Amino acid sequence: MAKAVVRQANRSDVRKHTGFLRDGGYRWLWVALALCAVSIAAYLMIDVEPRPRGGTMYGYVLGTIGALLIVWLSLFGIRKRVITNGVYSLKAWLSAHVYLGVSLLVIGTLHAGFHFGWNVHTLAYGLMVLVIVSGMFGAAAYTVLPRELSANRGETTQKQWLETIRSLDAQLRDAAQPLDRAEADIVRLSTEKTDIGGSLINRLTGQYGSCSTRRAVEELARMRRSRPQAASAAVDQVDALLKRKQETLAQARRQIRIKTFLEIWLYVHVPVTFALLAALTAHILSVFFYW
Amino acid sequence: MTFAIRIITRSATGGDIVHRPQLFDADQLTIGRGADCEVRLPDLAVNLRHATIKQTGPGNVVVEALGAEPFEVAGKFITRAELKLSDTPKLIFGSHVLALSASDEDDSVLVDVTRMESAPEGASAANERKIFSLGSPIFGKRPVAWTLAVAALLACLVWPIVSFLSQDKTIHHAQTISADQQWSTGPLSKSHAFLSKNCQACHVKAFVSVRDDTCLSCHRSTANPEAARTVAANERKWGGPEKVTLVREHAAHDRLLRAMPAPKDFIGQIKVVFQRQFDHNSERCASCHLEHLADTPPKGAAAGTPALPRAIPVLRNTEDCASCHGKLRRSLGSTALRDTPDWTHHPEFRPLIARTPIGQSQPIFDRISLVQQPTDYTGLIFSHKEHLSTVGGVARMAAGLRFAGGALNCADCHRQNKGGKGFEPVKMERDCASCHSLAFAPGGPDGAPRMLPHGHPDQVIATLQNFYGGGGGMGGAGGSARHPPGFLAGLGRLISYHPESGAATGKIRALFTPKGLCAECHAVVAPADAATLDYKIKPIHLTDRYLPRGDFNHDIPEHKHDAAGRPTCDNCHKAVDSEVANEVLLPRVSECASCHGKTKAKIETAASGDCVECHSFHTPGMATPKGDRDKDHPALGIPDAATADKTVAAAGSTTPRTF
Repeated sequence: MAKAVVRQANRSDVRKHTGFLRDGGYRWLWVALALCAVSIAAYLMIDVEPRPRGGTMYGYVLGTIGALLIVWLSLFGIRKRVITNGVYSLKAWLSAHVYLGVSLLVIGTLHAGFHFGWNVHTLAYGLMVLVIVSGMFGAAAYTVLPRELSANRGETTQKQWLETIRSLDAQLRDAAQPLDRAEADIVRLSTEKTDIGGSLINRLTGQYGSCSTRRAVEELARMRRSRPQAASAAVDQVDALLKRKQETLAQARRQIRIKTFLEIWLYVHVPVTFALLAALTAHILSVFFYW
Repeated sequence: MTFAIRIITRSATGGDIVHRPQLFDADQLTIGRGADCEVRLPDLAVNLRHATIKQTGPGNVVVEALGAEPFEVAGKFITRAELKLSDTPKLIFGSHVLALSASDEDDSVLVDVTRMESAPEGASAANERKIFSLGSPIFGKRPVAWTLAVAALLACLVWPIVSFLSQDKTIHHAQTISADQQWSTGPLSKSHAFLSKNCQACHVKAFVSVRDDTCLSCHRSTANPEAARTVAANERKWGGPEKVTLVREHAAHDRLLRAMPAPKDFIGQIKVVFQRQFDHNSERCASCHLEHLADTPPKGAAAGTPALPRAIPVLRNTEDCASCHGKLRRSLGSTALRDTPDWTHHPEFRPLIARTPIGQSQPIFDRISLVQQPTDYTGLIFSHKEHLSTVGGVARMAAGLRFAGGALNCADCHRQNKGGKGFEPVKMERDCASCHSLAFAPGGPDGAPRMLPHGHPDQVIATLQNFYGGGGGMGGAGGSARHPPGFLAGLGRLISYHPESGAATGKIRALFTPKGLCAECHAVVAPADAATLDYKIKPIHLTDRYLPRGDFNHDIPEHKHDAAGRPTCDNCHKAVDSEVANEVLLPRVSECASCHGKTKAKIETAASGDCVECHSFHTPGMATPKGDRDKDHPALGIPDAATADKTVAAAGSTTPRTF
């Protein structure tokens, strides 16, 4: 019975979907704003000789808050593997992760007293900024792109696109059987050399200038222009199949591009977080080592 | 000639299915993708008619390509091959393998055709994740994450710590880069910049804040010669570019800590708890003298402030004087210092007084408040009143000696020292002898009279014995020189008191009698045995500085003269009424307060009532230097505090003179 109720509640949650940014009526946005406001007010009110810095009472307090926040935010990598609901749902955690993470920009900067140098302390700050900026990119991507992703996909799935491509390849191979060596090689270019995903640059730009299927289409067109006598039903069929494959590839690659934007920031966010935790350790230990 | 072609395919379960052989009774077979080939390979990598296979004899075949495209035999791509069936050769065309062998039953050639397992297609469902996710084209997140983290830890933490532990704690100027420099939070001031690569010069122990002993190893001002040598050796060892400023500790650390008031605010109290917990108290040198902030301009810096980096560490005052000295007795329990919550409660001056000097080689000193009207032992018989009087013998003699205005004034005997801040000790020969002549007979060198040596009774006796015992006398050599009145008076007295005596003994006894020349100013101790001439003078001492813990500058215009330029000594020193030498002629603190602590509206010569006017933290006997310390510092070529230290070393000492 209880389970049924929970399930019911879940269903209603799904119906009234709100994004992680709006979770709990912007609860964590207000918490983060309050944290920033208090920090800024204290920064302005406390007169530190000769200038605000990490080594003052206020500096230590902000530093402690900042370090604890960083550790807590890093733990999201573990927390996200368990999906739960409610006030402490994963979505609420993500919302807190995003807003408190951005507030860290204020806390970290005030902790540093707007003072930077070529040292381990500024290294930790720089890495923190990098993590936060990449995270902001990620939050923006996850706010905007999923809609585009589903618009591009329509009613099809990634598996279906791959199936279509496989089937087109099989048809191409069959259709090409009667073709001579040169023509068969063009078909092989498409069936054997096409890299659907491509390089990172291909994925980010969505430009696949050297795509083998595209080259095959071009080669075939050139060949048909130069050898009109070679025209045959088989060549026509191959040409049509290649063009269909190109369309399917284009659609799959739009999907890949969107997914790349959804994922790429994590390749900065996660490794730099690790580097940040190391630099933060060095920052804290070094300060007390040479107190 | 017969060829038997067997197609072998792979079943779903992995086993081979050998199809029934097709038999061709021909000399040769054609291999290719074309429909007309006997061995048909549906592979786009194979030509329509790729090659022929021909039996040339029992057990021998020749395979020959029909076009330019080769085929593969034993790992080689060739266009013609003569093969022995006994070797069971394998021909590879595209993804197909043709295994040739001789039939066991007849002389036909067996051709087994199999298709090689190929790698899964690019678009296979197994690759979905690889294709649509970012995993493949760039490095994985985890390896990069761990690499970066380990690299950062090694470079920023392990390397400096290892270098800290492995280095001996001596100088390593030669190093171009030191591992722990990256830990520096900011540039050092110019005066310490030479230590930039020597973190361990100050950060001696890990996780222990910079201790005063470390600072004082170079900056300690000490009277102990051995300790001073150690300090000098340390200065040489570290090799700073400029003269080190020597300082004294204000008080012992535990007393400093106890004297500091607990903060009133809650946050301040938490701060103190943390400070005590982590042994990071605010009584350390480094609590006020902040380093690694040399790139911070002074607050409210305007034009004319010294260029960055700063010359000396930033100075931050953690407490003001009154916060500790306001209730020192309560916080310390016992202290010789009086509580001074502010200038209006400044205790009365307590001059350093010699208490029991008579007959002792080392007089005992004590601080006695002016309220108790202390008397100081000087050993002298002297009346300021008589000397400063405008009438009487002294005034007349002064007039005769052409002193301005007739009577004596202070400056006739008290000479300002170099710099004018204080006065040189009074010296008899220079400051008294022009009236109190020690001449006893004519006939000295260069026509001057013969002089008794001052300060040495035994020499005086010897001089007179020598002179009179040796046949001298009134009619001795010389006598033509002109002498000042003092000389004549002294000489006349010497003679007039003992007109009947011509012998040395008589002269000597006359000199030391209560009415004799010496006894004018000194207390004479007569010989125990009246038959001898063992006369002594009681010891004297003149105090250079009565208030060793406070500074006073006599050279300040408001201190030394009035608006009309007249000397104002008698405003503070009531010498005109002083008839005996042991009076302490110091002004009361209220005299200072007549200007200090007042406003310009009340008095023209109003001055500040701040403690720093007369005291400083490191040298309490000196006023705190005024102005921007960054500018005043020796690093910028302006006189330093070392001289101040010497003054303090001298303060409290007096000039005991023992006869």
